[in-house]
Amino acid sequence: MKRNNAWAKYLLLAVGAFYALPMLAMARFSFQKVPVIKLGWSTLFKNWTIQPMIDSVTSDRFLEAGWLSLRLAFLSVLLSLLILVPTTVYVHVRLMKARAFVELLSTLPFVVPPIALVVGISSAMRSTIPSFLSSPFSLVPFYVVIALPFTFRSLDVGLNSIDLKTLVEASRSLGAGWMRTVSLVILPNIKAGVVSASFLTFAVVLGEYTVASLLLKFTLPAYLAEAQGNNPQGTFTVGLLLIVVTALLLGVTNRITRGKSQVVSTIGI
Amino acid sequence: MKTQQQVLKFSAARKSFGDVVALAGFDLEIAKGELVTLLGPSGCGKTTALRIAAGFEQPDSGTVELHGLDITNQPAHKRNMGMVFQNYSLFPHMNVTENVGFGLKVRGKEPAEREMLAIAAIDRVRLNGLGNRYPHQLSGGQQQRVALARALVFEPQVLLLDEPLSALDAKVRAELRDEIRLLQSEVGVATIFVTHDQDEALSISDRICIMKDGHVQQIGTPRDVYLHPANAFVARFVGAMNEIEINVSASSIASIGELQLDLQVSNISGPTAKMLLRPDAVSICQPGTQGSLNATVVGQHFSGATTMVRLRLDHNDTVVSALLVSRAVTVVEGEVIGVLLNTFEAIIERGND
Repeated sequence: MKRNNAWAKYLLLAVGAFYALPMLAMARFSFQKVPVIKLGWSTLFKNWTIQPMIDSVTSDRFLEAGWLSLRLAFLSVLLSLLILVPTTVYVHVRLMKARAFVELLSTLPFVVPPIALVVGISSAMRSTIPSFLSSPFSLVPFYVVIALPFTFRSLDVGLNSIDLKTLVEASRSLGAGWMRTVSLVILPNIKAGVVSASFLTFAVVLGEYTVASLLLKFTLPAYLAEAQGNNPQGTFTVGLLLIVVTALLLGVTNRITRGKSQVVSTIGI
Repeated sequence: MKTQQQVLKFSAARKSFGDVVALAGFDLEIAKGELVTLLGPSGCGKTTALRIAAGFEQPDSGTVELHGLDITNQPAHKRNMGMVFQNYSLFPHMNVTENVGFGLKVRGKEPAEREMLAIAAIDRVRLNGLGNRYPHQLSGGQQQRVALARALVFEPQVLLLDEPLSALDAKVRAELRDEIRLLQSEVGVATIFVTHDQDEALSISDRICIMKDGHVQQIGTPRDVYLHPANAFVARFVGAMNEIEINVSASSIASIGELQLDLQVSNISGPTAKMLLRPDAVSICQPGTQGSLNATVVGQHFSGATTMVRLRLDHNDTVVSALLVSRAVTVVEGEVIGVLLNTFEAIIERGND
């Protein structure tokens, strides 16, 4: 046992270093006013500054892209939940036979490359509703689809962890219709799943580049690509910022999910 | 037996799932304040009948009436029936008071009134002071009490109990069983109680409806179904039963070996038939006593006040059980004694019963 623990510790350290070293390097590159060639042990504590970050986060282009990405993220979360909460609940309560099929369907975005998705949809849309793709918000449906594997799974896990059938029947026998059963009984019990579905969608939208650039929309990742040329330090600070924000979101999700699952597991069946 | 106002009525309710007929023409009337138990082995249709009453299943044909109104197609949440489930069904994110108040909330009761009624209901199931607990902080028995309070607080017209005790351990089960009965008769609500446990059914019910393969076998008081079972299935399912092969002569005289039995067997075509007899209709005596059969004691099972003695009949090697008062049992294994059969309530099984 002891030896296993020691190995686990070393492994953890190695993995940690694997992730942390590039980030540290990135941090030095972004926040130190030292020519790249001189970055070394001797300059470790020299000329640290957050000026590049301030420059880039206050630039108009960043604000434009950031604002769009935020709105896209919120809308994608909203649309995902509006479509998926009723769907997964319906599947779990009435159509458990179809669950495997829906699950398979939800993994399609992993299999179909984003470029195929974009080409397919845009050629279909151009000939039917040409105005659709001109709005930047045309990205929302794409993001809902791309986030589908994560959103479906989060909600599915949430619904699996409760005795849904009994809770629904208890609620209905007590006089609650479907709307109130979903809002008063089901949603509070899959809160963890809803929160993690939301955060994951959020993270997907903040990081998605392929679709946005193919459709020529100016989102945060598109900004990063564009600004790399004239303000490399600035774009790296934004990149770091995105990583930290995303990591925080995932951390929060984890905490909420874990706290919840303890409560759920103790109710028994 | 109560013959008051009829509350719930099933008429020729049928339901199948695919090829399986769960309920084949189910008729039952339940009066106000009456507790009717649906008893039978799993797959007999008892749960389906309950779920049809609750509105969770639609019958393929037939009707369900509540106070004379056809509710067959009424959605579950409009039926005003309280239900307690086999699985713990409390809402995990609500405390006890909120759980109990849920039915009042969806009926639009004000928070203050809601809380008052909920607390009163919690007191009735003897959980005073536990209103702030969450379901995971309660024992199984306590959870089912809360579920009971929750199902009764909005004064439902019918109470539906779907094996509410089966997940509990024996002691709690017996305790809660008696409490359910007490509370149910205090409130005076028409109740359907589903169980596969015959002891539970016998001790709690006004009437028992015994079912098999979707068909009702017998509806009667616990005394009725135990002492006068309608057929061999009921006889075997409710209480223990001895099965002894008897000979039936052409002149309709039943006998076991030399011993002639005092039995009406005119409608049985011989030469043999099966006699079903309760262990408490078997007694022991000195060997050779008039009207007795010789047997050997092969074992005994002591359970306090009574002892179940296992006896092998010398005539045909059939092993029968005799339920005796422990004080009267002085036999030892291997001893040869006499067996007296009280055939007054015996059931004779026909060939294809």
